[in-house]
Amino acid sequence: MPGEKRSLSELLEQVKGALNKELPAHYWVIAEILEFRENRHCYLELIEKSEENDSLLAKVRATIWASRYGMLRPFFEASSGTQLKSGIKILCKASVEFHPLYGMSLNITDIDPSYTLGDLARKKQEVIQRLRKEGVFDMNREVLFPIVPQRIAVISSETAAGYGDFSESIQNNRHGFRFQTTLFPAVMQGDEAPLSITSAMEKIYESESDFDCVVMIRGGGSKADLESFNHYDLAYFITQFPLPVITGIGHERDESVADMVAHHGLKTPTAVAEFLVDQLLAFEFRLSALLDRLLISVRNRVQGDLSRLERYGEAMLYLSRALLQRQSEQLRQSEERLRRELTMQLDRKGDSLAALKKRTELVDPRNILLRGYSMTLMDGKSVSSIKNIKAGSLLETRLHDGSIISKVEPSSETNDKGED
Amino acid sequence: MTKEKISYNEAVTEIEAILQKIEEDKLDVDELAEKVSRVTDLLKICRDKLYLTEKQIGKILDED
Repeated sequence: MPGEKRSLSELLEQVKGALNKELPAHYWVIAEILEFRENRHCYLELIEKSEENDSLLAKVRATIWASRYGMLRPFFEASSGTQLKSGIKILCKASVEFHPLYGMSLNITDIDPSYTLGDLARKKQEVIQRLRKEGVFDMNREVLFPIVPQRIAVISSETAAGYGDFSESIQNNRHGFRFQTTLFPAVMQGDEAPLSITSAMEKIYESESDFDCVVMIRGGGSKADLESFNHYDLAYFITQFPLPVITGIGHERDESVADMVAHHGLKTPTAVAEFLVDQLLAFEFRLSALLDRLLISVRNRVQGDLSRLERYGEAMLYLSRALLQRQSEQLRQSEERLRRELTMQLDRKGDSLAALKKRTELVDPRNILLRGYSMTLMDGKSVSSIKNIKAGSLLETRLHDGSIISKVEPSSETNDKGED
Repeated sequence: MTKEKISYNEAVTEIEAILQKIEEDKLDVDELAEKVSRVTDLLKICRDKLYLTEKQIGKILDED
C-alpha cells in the first residue's frame, strides 16, 4: 500500500516482529568484550576485530540480566581463571533483542569458559614465544642466587592476606633466623596490576644493593585473574631484573608466565617463606659442616704430629734393638768359632795319643799271653831253644793268669844222649 | 669479636681456604692456632648475622 503512513513505533515494532520471526532462537556467538560494566546486571559492549588490521568489523550492546549473571560470573571465573573484563574473548549464548526505544542488543544467557580459556592460553603461548625469541626467557633464572637470602624486597598489596601469611611465616620461623623485609606496595590484580608491579620493581631497582632478592606475592584475594601475570610487560621486566625474583602468586592450575620466567616460581606466599627459611637452614648446615671440618682437620693435624713423634720413637727403639741383636749375633758367632777351633785342636791331639796307646798295647807281653800264648822260663830266663834243657830241669811256664812249674822227663830228644 | 663487616660469601670463601691449608698440612703449629681462631671467629660472625638483627649485631660490636 504505497503512500500509507505509519508511526516510528509501528515501524520499529515491525522490525522487532521481523527479527523475532527470522532469528527466533539462541545463538552461540564469538565476540570480544570492549567495555564492561556491572551493577546487579552486567552491561557489555561486544565487538569483532579484523584479524588482519584490528579494524572494527562489528559492534553491539549486550546484557546479562542479574538472574543469570549471579550464577554465570563465578562459574566463568572459576573455570577460566580470568575475570569478565574488557579485552577477553568470549563464546556466549545469546538471543537478539530489539526494543523500539533502546535499539538492538544481545541478551546473554550463557558463556562457555573453555573458549576464553583456550584463547587466553593461545595468548599466553604467544607471550612465551616472544620472550624466547627475544632470548630473555631464562635471564632472571641465570642471576646468581644469594648464598643467604635475608634482605627481602616484597611486592604485594599491603592488605592482602597473602602478605600477612608471608610476614608471619618468615618473621616467626621456627629456627629463629632473622629476615629483613621491605614492602613495596602494588596492585596485584586487575588491569592495573602489570603497571603497578613494574613500578614497584623500578623502586626496588633504585636501592638494589640493599636487597638479596625480590618476592612477588598475592593470595587470599580473588582466585581468578591471573591474566596480569601473563602480561608481556611484566614478564619481560622480571627477566631483566638484576635480583632474583621469587613468585608466590597463588596459582591453582597452570603456572603464569611470571612464574615461568621468575628465578623460582612457587605456589603460595607461605611456600615462598618456607623456601627462604630453607635457604638459611641450608647455610646453617654448611656452617656446621665447616666447623666439623675444622675440628677434624685440626685433630688430624695434631694426631699427625703426635704419631710422627711416636713413629720416631718406635724407629729409634727398633734401630737400637736391631743394633743390639746384630752385635750379640756377632759375639755369638765369634764364640762359636772359638769353640770349634779349640775342639778341633783338642781332637787332633787326642787322636795321636790314642794311636800311641794302641801301639804300646800291641807289644805288651801280657796281651800276648791273653791270646793263649805262653812263655817258658828256666832259672828266671826265657827259654827259646831246647838246647840247654836237661832231664830233671825245672821249667816255669808263664800264662796270663799264673805260672806252672814242671820237671823235664828224659826223652830221646833231650840232651841226655849228648851227655853220654 | 672482630669489628668487621664481611659478606657471607667472603666469610665462607676465607674459611674454606684456611681449611684447605690445614688439610694439606701447609701451616706450622703457630699459624695453625691463629688460623683456627680466625675460622671460629668467621663462623661466629656468620651465625650472628643469621640470627641477630642489625641492631643487635651493632650492639655487640659497640660492646667491644
